[in-house]
Amino acid sequence: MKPLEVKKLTVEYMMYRGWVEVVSNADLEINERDEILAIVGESGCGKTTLGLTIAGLLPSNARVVHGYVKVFGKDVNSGSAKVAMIFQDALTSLNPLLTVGDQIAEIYIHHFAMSKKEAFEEAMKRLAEVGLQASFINKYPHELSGGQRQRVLIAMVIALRPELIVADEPTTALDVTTQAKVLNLLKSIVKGKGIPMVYITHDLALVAHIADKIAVMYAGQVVEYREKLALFKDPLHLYTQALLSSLPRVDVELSELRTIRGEPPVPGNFPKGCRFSPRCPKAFSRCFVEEPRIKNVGNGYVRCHLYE
Amino acid sequence: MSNGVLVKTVGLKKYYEVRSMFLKRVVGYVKAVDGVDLEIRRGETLGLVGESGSGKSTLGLVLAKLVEPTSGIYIFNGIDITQRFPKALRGKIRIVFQDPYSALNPRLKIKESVVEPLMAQGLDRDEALEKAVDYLKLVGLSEEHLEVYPHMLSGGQRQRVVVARALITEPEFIILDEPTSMLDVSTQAQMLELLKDVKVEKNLTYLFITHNLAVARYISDTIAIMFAGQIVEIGTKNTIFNNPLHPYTKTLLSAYPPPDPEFQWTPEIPEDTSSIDSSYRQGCRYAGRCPLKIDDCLKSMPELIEVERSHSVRCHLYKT
Repeated sequence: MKPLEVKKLTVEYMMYRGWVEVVSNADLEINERDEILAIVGESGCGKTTLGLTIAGLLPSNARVVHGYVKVFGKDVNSGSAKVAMIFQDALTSLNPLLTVGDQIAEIYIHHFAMSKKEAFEEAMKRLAEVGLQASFINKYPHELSGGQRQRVLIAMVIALRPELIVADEPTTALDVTTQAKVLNLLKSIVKGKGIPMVYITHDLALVAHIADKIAVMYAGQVVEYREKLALFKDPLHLYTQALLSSLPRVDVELSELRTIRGEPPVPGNFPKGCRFSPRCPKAFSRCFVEEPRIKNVGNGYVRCHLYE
Repeated sequence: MSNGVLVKTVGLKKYYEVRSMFLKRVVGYVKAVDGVDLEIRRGETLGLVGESGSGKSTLGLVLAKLVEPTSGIYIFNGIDITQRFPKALRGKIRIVFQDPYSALNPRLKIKESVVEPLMAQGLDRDEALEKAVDYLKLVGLSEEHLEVYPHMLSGGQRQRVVVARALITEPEFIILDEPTSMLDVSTQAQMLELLKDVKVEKNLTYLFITHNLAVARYISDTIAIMFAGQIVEIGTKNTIFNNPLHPYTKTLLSAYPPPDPEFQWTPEIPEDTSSIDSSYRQGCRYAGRCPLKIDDCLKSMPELIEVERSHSVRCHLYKT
């Protein structure tokens, strides 16, 4: 059974003008227990909504129109699939009135019916696993730095013993040095414990190092879904190409960035035909009227008329 | 205007008082900017790189004359403006902030926001509006944007408005405080290109504050690395990237990977990066984290020393 299977998933949000499509026909999967699938895109592309759907955490003003998310063969909304989520802002994810120890131990007491003593012993082990000293068990969230808070959240996620982790921009709020450490911690958890992860981010540089497979989203659709190496070596979709060439780099001297004209469309206002067509340098007549279908390439696919 | 230096600071400091809860007595200082000597040449872009809390934004505010320095000297275009800031110079130094959502008054139309600095200078409203159109076009917006409100624009468009408003007083020096860090990748690229273009067209000098080394490398001529209120290394872009000397610079450079999956990324980061040693004993401020520290590092504060032509570093390891 596959760790994650997303099939023809379409999600809508209730907005003031009615139901608006935010994620359209997404197809994704994770095949191995130690795989990291990255979802990359700009703001408003639907990556967070897709992540929430995978975690079974859609808010009440959202609905799944069709398609499904299965985690190890179980529907994510059935209650038996165990998915844990890590958010960008660790401070709002933690209870300010409880110590770190209380919050981790709570999981063992409520989910695994342990005694308080056992639960705290387990909590200590989890803290050690995420690289925090034992003294942190009695600290409150406000006493911690951003990176330490994110580590506490990761400890809580491990404590839940999930079958899948969804991490939504977990390092965006952190400084670069802290970011590198948290990233490596997440990667070691996936590889060491065999808990697959969906990693949502806008940062292609990080993705190049953490992901195994990458899904690039644009205007609610997954426009390209490939193995990491293939995507960076030979990006097919023109949006992927444009994203990669508009990135300033630390390793090489660039004299100019290739920019994409215009701005990404917002939900409810997606263009007809191919959604990237108004900004695409290679768009032809068909692109403006007909939505491209998925074309399988290797282990992934691309959604572009040029490759049909 | 001696040797083309537009902005010069000597020993610039900004300390914030820390007061006790009871009786509000001063119990200490936060040394946000602690002795910064800078020279920015006319037409240069100085990239100021540091992590949160390094004091880079405070330095930007001091240079924008929005915050009074505690001590030190600030010379702009040969004139000492540390104490007095002559009215004629006020439009010559402008600042662009990170967040384009809070930088514009939500109740003012774009045109009102853009002409405001000119009205403050006592310009006629019609003239100011005419000028506003020119500057909106310069930043890639059009006349139709004059009549809209900020909420109708995207983040990238708003930041363009903010840039137009900064440019409209015909400044010579612009402080850009993380102007692209809230923008998406594709919008960021557009903004960086725009900033590069107007710099040439309007003959500007930039202080570009950022935490993103990739952006700093792309936009800057010179890069200064800031840590705990001090500049720990400064040099041309190439010397900083090809021959970083300060242990902190090396850490920063290894902490952010290039977008290349075949690059072997091994970040070399000291164990404890949680806090800057705030006790600020007499020693080096980086000593608490530094993997290479020697005895001297705990005893005395290193000076910023020029180790090669236009490359200075503040570290005991490079004493001549």
